[in-house]
Amino acid sequence: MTMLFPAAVGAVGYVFPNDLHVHWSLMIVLYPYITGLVAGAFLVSALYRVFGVESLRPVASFALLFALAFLVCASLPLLVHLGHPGRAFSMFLTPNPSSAMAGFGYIYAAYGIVLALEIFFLYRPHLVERWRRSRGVKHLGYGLLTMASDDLSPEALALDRRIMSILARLGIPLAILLHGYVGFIFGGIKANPLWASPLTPVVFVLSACCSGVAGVMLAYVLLNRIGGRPVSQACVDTSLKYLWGFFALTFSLEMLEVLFQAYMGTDSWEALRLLLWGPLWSSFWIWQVLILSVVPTLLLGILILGRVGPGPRTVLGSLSAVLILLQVFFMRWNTVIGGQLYSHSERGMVMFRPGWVGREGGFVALGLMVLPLVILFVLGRIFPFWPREVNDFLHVVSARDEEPDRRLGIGN
Amino acid sequence: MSILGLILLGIVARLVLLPEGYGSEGLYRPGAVQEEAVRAVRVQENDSCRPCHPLIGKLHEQGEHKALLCENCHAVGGDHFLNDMVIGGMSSPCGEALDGSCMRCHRQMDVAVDPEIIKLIKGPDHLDKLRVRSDHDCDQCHHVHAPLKWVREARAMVGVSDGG
Amino acid sequence: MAARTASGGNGPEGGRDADLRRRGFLRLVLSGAVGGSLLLVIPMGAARLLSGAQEDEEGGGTSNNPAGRRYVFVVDVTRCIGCGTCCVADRNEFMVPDGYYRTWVERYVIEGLDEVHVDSPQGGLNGFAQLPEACPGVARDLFFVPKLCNMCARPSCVQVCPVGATFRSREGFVLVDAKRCVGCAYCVEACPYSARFLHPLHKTASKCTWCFHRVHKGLEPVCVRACPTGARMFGDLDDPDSEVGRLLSRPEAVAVLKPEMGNKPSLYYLGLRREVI
Repeated sequence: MTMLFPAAVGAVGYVFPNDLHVHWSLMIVLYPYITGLVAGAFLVSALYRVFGVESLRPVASFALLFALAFLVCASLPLLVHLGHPGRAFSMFLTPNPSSAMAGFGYIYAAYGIVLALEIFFLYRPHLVERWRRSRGVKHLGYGLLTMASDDLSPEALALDRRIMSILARLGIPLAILLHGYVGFIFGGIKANPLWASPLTPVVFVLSACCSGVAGVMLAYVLLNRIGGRPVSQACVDTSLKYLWGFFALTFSLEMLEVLFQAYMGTDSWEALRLLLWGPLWSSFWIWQVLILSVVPTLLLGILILGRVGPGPRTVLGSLSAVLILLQVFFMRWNTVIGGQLYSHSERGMVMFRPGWVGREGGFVALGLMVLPLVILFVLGRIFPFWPREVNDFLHVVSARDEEPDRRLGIGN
Repeated sequence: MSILGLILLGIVARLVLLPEGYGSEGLYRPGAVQEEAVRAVRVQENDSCRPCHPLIGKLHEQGEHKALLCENCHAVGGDHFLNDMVIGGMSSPCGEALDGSCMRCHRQMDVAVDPEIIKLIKGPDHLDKLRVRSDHDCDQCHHVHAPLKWVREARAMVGVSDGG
Repeated sequence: MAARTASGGNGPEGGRDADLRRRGFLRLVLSGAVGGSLLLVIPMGAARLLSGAQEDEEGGGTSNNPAGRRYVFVVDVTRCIGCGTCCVADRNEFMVPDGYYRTWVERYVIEGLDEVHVDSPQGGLNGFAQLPEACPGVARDLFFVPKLCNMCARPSCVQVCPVGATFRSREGFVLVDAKRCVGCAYCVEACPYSARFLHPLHKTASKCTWCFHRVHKGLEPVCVRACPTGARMFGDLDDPDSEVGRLLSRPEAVAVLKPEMGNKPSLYYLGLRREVI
């Protein structure tokens, strides 16, 4: 029983008797964290594909696979958390139109379809190539993945490009929606002074961008260093700039929320103050703000504005990415758990520490964070991560990939 | 064509998978209301005790405790009598447990309560004032089902009016 | 998806033929995606259309409420003696597991002008024999406040339930469909009164129902019946013979909890002090 619904480890002041239970624990911290990575990674790809940020080309395909690997797992923490996961399909069958949570199934499915199609069209030439070369089971598998179409004529590939560009554009609002609605689930709870704010979904989306950029960049650097492949400095530098920008925005809005509440000084500030200077003191001020926000903001500033060599820039940039990935996790923690610590009695708080064992414990959480990486590894076996390899297969495509005017330019 | 087929499939799926009557009254399954309505009543009315306990029932009916549920002091009727059958015992607090039962309601705290609503006492004071030994249980002077029955009878015997 | 099985290993094909294949293939993929999305959306639309009549959730006595009853619960704070009999009766009626509360009683001890000590040991289940721990001074005032489901006309729990498993019935009772609840606890988070919890055995949301099953059989809610002082009252507001009808038609100060939440509770308090949240 206690494993299912971890009871709080103590209470200060008067807490409503039912508020002693923290019903949303680690799994509900993980859920927005993972969807944030999904949404953010897609936006990295969109920066190249839609907004034409050329230097992000090396990670543009990988970012999509990264997003897919996490997307596949995004619903798992929810299912682990649900008292009756077997009834989850009801969210599709009888969604309550007034509930923010009911949108989950539709947004998740729509985004999943767009992402899967985007990857399908991106890797179609590669898959067709493999289909033609392979034999036996592999042949059958690739046949299924190509949906039994081997048409690689220039017209067909041009059409693929058009579709992909539409999908990439469609994907941006969907990715923002996917994570924005997660923020809305919390932001729309009027009974909770820590959550109830129109800034909540905005901060969620922005911090999703941070975690996406940081996650993709970190994986890019690590995987290529381990694989002994060269790392594009332009790609790392551009990632760091975007990371800095997104993070500065995120951090400012997070602080704005606190400052604004403090300045207004209403009852909800009293709640927030007690929390931030009480049970959340170290996880908010020491970790989220000082170590994981101030430090990477300064570090990134020095890396981008100062004179740091490419080697240290990559290493320290990766370190900042790690810090920011942790910052986003701490922000989710302080929001999801922190919000529940303040009782609706407005007179007390509970203390909470999740256990390691149990259905919603730390080990399961770790497993759920490792699983997407395993899936990513498997995906990498089918869909090569890095464009250089992709381009080996896409030589037909890449010649036509260039914009017509630029191709003319090269020709001249 | 295929889209039309899928729409059709969607409608069929809806008919098959949706809970019965969903949406007919509101966005819920009307059966749930019925299921809640037929939940077993466990705490019974005093009328259901009287057929088997007529004497106590009569006494209780005439005393100051007449508004109280038998089950306020005697556990749950639903665990005792079901479908015309006795299925389990009931508990009757005695000794300290009985005092606890009485004092649950009659303990004088700092709360201001209209004496018309309930008579509140401070345990030792009450016994001191009446010059009763401090280890007396409540039911040594009060009949628990009709609290003032014996008190009134005693007063009548010695000729003291009810007000004292 | 295998409608068009192409023979693998062929080289690029000639113009028109390829174009046709291409279109067929594309139609397949795109209609699959669009159709798949439609398949998901259709049930939502249909359910919504069917329930068009249920738009107005507020107030009773409308076409949604054939019985025409407006049930209200009234708690007279000045009559509550903090015995906790109501809590025991509730536990007996519903076999609520320890540590979870459909109803509870709070004790307020007020010192000086604004020093408020609130407690509710085990939800008041065993009464309040001991004085609160953190209460050294002399109490200016001491009173008890029973709490239970507010049966809001605009319930947050119903708003946020993703699957329609918690709902407001035609008679105005906010109930939980334990066979459909997915156990996400969103309603628990959304209720401003903390009246809800996840049942540790059933793993579904649970809360006070104002004893809908008893009311349905013509009985009073069990806490109302068990209360020795008549601090808890329940009835039809429009019934002039009912106690609540008489009470709420008098010029008395009637309050609800957290009115700023906008939930419009049907649980009213007489003699409620400003310290009560």
